[in-house]
Amino acid sequence: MKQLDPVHSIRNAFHREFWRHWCVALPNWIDLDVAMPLPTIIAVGGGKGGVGKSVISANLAGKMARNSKVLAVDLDIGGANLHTYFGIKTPKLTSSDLLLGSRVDFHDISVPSGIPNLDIVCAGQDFGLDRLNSRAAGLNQIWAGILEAKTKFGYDYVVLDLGAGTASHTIDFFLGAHVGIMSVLPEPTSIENAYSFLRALLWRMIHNVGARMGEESLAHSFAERIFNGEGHGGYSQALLKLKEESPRLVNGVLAGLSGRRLGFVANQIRGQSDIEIAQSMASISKDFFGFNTLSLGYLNYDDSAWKALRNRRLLIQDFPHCLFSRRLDEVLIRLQNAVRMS
Amino acid sequence: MKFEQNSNSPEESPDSFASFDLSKVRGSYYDMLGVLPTSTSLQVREAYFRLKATYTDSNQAIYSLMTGSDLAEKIKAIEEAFDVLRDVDSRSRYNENIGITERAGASRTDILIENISFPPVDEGMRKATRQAKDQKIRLVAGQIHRDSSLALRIRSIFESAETPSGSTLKAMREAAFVTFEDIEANTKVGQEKILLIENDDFVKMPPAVYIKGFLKSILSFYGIADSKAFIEGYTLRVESCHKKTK
Repeated sequence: MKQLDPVHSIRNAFHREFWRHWCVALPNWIDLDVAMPLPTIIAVGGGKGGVGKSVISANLAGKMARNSKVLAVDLDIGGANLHTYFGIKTPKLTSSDLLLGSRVDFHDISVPSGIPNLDIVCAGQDFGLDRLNSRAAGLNQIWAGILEAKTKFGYDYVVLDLGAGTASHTIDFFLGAHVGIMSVLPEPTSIENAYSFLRALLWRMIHNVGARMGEESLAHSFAERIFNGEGHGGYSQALLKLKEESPRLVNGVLAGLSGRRLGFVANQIRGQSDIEIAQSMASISKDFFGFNTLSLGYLNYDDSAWKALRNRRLLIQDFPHCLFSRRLDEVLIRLQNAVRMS
Repeated sequence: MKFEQNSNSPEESPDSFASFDLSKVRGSYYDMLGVLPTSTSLQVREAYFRLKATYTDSNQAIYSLMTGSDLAEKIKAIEEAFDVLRDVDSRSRYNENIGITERAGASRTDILIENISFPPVDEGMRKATRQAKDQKIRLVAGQIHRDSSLALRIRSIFESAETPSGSTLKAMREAAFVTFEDIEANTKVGQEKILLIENDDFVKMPPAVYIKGFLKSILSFYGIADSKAFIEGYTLRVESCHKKTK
């Protein structure tokens, strides 16, 4: 990795205190330098499709770019459309070129979004997922690009727009974020998928921690036991019960859980009763899964969302004073407080 | 440098600021309700009601995660924890049992609140005081006119004011021993409007036309007839502020 210059060695409190805890749940093959200043990584996921992951990440990145340099990365490989929210066409070079092993650099594929201080990295539209495995060299390059975004390109924030589903690389990118935003709709389907996403997250985290500690088989057996039977009525309780068998592994997983934050945003809110959903889900997931959760607020169902999309312009540019935009301001304030860990 | 795994590092938990042994709290009733041994009984109560609302069948957020029996089990555990922690005595006994010695029992404020005894409510008394209050409100306007020394005192305060400001009205109100409620009942000017005028809070005030009317009725309540100059001066200040800010 690149040699540091002293200006970049100042990290914010969040990174300094939680670096080790954050690091322990990352995939094994990612090399990290302790002294490397990281950008604040924010991932937007949620399991189900159409819950507003892209619209949230695009507009959140747009709002963040007012004060800091932001990179938005589309990681919905195969179903990419983050660029459409900014009204730009798919560029010639996308992250698919990295994945396919073309000789391109991460810097080549980032394009200006039309908003000052905000660049985006697009993903390709037609890329066979079957050719991708989680250890592909291209994937490693994307990881390196994200982690070095501060040192090499000077980005303060990196916003990851993840795809639907629980593919292993999606889960890994979500684990790589300092704050993971779960976008949920107040509908049973969305809630069901959100919980299955969290299950996959915990499953993957146990495996990653096991791999870091060189105890893959033990981690796998723990995960099997927690998710099949023993975890009935609360995975965090089941995890604590296993502490006697291997304190080191369980402590590692607990550290991984406390080293990142999980924020819930309820999207497409239509009534008073829907507002509670983010708060409820946050407290349930804290209790059930043991994640370090918080409720980031809610976003109203707003016609300006589809109107702006049909204009192919960013919502906060087209309708800066609409209800959605104002609620997103509140979400952003809570998010920034969470990153400071205050 | 590659990531080095330190076997004892994850033990340092982010919530190590607490003054008691956290390992004793883990798995206890406090943990169940998501509160700390230092939490007040009000916080315990709030946590209980929040959890009760979360773990109900009608809550969308539990869909697919919990079935009926899990839910019943959870609610039972919450009830059990709250039953012990709601009472100061049983809570301190529980603390002794699980070995939390520091700040045994509830916090100081809790104990103080428990010890305060409120006098029994006498319905007859309440009725009498309410009636007296109503009568007082009706009488106030007449009182000022009848009491000539009081009227003179208010008059002198009004005349001593150099610039028309809300502080004059405040001094008059204090001299007359009347409350906002009294003024509202007699002049039909809202209490918050009177407060705005007394504090010279021009920015939040309604347009000057309204203020003119308010001042006229307030000053006539105090028995002051020649208030034209004061009102003119005051509304001028309001208008100039509104021009600047709006």
